[in-house]
Amino acid sequence: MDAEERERRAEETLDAMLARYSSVQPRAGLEQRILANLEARQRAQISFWRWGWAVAAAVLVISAGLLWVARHRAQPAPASMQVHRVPPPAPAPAQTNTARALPAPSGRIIRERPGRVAASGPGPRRNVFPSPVPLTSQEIAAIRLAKRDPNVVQTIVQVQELERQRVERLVQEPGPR
Amino acid sequence: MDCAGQVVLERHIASADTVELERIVREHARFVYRVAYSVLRNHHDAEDATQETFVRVLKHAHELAQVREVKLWLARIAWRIAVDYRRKVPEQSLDEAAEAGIELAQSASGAEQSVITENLMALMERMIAGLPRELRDVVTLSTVDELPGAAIAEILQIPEASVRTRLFRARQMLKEKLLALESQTRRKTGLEVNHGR
Repeated sequence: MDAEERERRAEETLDAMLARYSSVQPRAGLEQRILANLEARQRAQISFWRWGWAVAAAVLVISAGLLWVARHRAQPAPASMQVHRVPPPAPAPAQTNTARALPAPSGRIIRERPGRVAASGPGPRRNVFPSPVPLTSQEIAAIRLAKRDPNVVQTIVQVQELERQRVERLVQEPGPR
Repeated sequence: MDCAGQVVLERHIASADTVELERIVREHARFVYRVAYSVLRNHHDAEDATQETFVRVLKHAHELAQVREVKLWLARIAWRIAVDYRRKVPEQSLDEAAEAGIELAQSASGAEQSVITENLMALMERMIAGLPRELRDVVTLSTVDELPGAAIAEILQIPEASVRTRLFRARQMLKEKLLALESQTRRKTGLEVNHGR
């Protein structure tokens, strides 16, 4: 067999092989599988966005709630942290009891919490001491009543005294067995 | 436009996109599959690549109206995805492929025609896999029906003349290997096949 013939045959073989190379058929139902996959993805995408919005809204509500709670807790705070300067050392006339009541060194800034200060003993007079607590509605009502009619207060005091005495008697008397 | 009108319009556009997408899938799925298969040579991977191609199309469904040649666009996407998949497979040289081809050819001698054809296809796969990359890409795409030289050039982003040159060179290399393979097989088996008869 001459070289030309061999080459021609090789060419034919190559053509045949290349023609078959990609002439394949996919498994049946390829289109349906692709469409089902796309539909599932679309659905997943939609639900993702829905849940995304729901989660974002929930986070917003929770953070707003936390903010609100934090603000309400912080409201009585303005008076809670009083910063003031302790006057320079004075010869403390009222220093009677403990060393704890000694004034701080001059010019030092002291932060005090109202609760702690109230617990300490008598000390030097301060510019600002426990923040004034606003009166309750009952107290305000009582003051108004007393202003309008002082006799009512007297009567209330008397009634309270009588009640106290009655209770004391009851306590002292032995109960029936 | 009020909010409700906007929503209705968006839904209408979305449903129009879906209809168009479905048409494209029905029309071109097999073509996309063949492009993927030409690179991957594996039904499972080719189907995965086809699915991935249409998922990407779905992501860009709103741009479908602007695509001039959908088929070419799909071929380009499928090609890129398939090439990405293929990167996982180690490459081999043309000589290694030819060595393996000799074994295949020997095992096929005397066997039934279908086995011979199967082995020849496996041989061709190995030989194409052994080509230099720029030649291999052109040959692979040229084997897909319906893909003319201009489309191959578009997919590979090279001039059409380069496609022709590379295809010619690749064919030459494959032919030489086939001839070498044939003579080696004859020598090894000691059989002289008379093609003239």
